[in-house]
Amino acid sequence: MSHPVGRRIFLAGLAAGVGMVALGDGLPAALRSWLEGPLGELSPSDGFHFYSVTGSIPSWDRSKWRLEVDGLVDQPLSLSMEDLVGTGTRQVTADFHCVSGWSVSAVRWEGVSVAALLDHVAIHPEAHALRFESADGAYVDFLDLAVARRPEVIIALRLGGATISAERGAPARLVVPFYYGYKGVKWLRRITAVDAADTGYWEARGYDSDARIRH
Amino acid sequence: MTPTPASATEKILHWAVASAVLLMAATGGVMYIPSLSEIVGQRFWVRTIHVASALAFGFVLVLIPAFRWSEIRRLERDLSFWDRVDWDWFRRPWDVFVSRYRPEDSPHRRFNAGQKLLAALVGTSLALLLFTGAAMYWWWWFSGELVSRARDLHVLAALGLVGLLAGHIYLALFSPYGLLQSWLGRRSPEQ
Repeated sequence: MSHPVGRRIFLAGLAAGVGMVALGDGLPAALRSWLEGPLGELSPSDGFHFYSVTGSIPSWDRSKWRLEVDGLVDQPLSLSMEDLVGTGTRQVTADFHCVSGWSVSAVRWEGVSVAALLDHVAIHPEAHALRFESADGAYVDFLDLAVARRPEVIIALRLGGATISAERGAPARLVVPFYYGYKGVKWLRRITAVDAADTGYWEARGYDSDARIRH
Repeated sequence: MTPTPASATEKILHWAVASAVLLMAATGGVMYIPSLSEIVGQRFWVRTIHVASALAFGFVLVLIPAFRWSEIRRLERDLSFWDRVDWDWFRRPWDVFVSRYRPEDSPHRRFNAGQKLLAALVGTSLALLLFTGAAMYWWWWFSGELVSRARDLHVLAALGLVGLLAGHIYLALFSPYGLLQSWLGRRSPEQ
């Protein structure tokens, strides 16, 4: 006498999976955390996934690193890390959402508000946007000036209470908490005031120019 | 042990699924393991290959049964139905482990219970990966909580599948009935 045991295993497994996703509350996360525990560094422990468009992380030397602020401004700046921190830091806590579907809850960033930086450069009236350039040599993105001046838009230097790590964008990255992560230029080296926003790296490859989080 | 040789359809199905799954495991591994992500970068393309492999895999799952329905149906029955000999296989784990176990062979028995269990678990894992992957890819159709749970289950199913496939490949190569013994010409005639 034989029974379709394999078919039953398949259907039961599928039903359990669908049930877990639909109604499982914290069960999948708890199981994942339990299973990933022994994997240590092989698993993404802080919830972030690493993205780079060039396949490398730009190296930097704290003693030589500068953040340039230029373009349509009266007083261009070339800021060392100490200069930047001296501008005054603030904390922003927000959920991080990647446009490819993963999120990290309650991420605590600390850095310098872009609005505070702009106060030091005497921006021209014809400037309506900022261009943010990564030290990877490929990634750029733009923010309208009104958006960039919102107080929660910061150049982050710390993440979760520690100096931001290389893979998360050290020494400085843009954080725009109400936009998807692709607007957050990592390894920031230059901010340029321009007359109008142009097309950013991912927008040129099909991402929506309206990056507002829609969850 | 599979005394009856696999048909051409079964071989095509096996290797099409194996190719897609290996590509998905490799690209998934690059996206999942932080140090690999950092070395490879280019996440957009890695993710695109991952999704394209999944779509190709789904296409194969539709295409082959569409042209070879009766053969696939028979294969599914061979793998699905378990009898007393199959349950006996699980009751003697040590004999199975040291390859001392000899079932009461019938000429129609194509798969042992381990192969049947593997097929059911791999099938379940792949179905869950496709279902949760779809929720992750078209995430804007679903709530954030549901996508988050789908992502966690996707990782769980992927880790489980990698374990199953590692065991499958190990046994396919190194068991007394495995490819290595066959290549070395050490497989005895009655096996």
